[in-house]
Amino acid sequence: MATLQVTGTVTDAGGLRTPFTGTIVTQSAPVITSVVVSPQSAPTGTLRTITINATDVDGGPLTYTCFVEGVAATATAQPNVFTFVA
Amino acid sequence: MATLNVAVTATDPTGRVGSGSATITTTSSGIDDGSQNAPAGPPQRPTLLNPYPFKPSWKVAGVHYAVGPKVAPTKIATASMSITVANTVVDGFDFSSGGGFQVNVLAPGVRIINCNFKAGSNAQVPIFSRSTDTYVGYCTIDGGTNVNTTPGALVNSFGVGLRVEYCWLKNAAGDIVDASEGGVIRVNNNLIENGGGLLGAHGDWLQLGGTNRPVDVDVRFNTVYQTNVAAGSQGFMLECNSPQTIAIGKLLNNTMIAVNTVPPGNFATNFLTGVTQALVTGTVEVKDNFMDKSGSAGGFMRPGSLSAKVIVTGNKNMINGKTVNGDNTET
Repeated sequence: MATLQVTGTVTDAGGLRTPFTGTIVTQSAPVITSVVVSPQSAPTGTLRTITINATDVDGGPLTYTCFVEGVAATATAQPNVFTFVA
Repeated sequence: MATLNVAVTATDPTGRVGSGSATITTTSSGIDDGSQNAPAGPPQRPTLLNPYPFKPSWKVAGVHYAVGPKVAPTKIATASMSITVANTVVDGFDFSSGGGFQVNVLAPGVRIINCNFKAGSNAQVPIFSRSTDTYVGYCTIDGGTNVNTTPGALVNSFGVGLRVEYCWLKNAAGDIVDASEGGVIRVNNNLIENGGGLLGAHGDWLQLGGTNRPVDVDVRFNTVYQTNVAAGSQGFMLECNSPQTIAIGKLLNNTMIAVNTVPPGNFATNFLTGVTQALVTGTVEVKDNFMDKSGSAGGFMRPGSLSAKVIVTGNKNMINGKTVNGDNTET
């Protein structure tokens, strides 16, 4: 999140001016800093754990999705952790 | 080795989405699963195991590798053929035209490879053997379901010894493979889809017969996908009729999916028919099979006879990851 200061003036048809100030609050999308697959390389049929690490400057709770070749991975009790057998 | 793509998102309360990615590398399981001898080309059912959280650790027939002919068979317009010369190789023919033709084996050691069969109006068993050690490999054999009520199995052997491997066996009115004279029986690395298409039939994936010859039967690395609704199956039978005996029985590393429903009064689907203890002279192993028994009567048929000489271990339910025991309990 970022806050921008805004200043300006309003002028009517008669030339009278009034200054004003305000703020604009910008919100940013979450940033995924890493996706950790463990084990990343293993024999076919191995249970993998996929951990999504993300930051969000707005600080709100994040929800996560995880797909492997278009197939939804299995959610766990931790919202940013999934499992998949591959 | 294969690389799988992982796509992830993180969404904040206002709906803003961040995205990321990773890869998964799959390597060989180290199990000699026979995949190295598979034909080239795309597998028939590459997404079959996608819904399951618990999958086999080996390469699965029809999912990770293709089965069937290595080269496209040549279509022939001919009548059925009888093979009377020992060790004849029938290679690369398409017997699906003209109502479906049969190869009738009357000599030992005959090999039928890279062929295509489809039963039709002729209502013939595609491969019918009355001699020893018949080999059927790299074939597609389609029974055409029950349209013409083709009698018997897709491969019906009344000879001692039979091997069926790397075949796509599908749409049988009744059984998939019948081996009625004992000896060394091998059914490996096949994709089997829908036995028992004829209402009331037992669509057994392998049925053993009943002579006095001991049986050495090994069934491994097959994939079974049973979806039809006409009838069920007794699965892979490791039992026989007295005085025939089972010297060695192995049901290993098969992937068996039964998601069919069966009309009331008809057989349900089972993966293994019970083994009669008194007829087992050696041991029987039922090990490391993976299954979805949603359409099954419970998994193993007559589980009360699975004890002592029958080792049941490591069989997994692909839905919940639990071990399926010989008495059909899950732990």
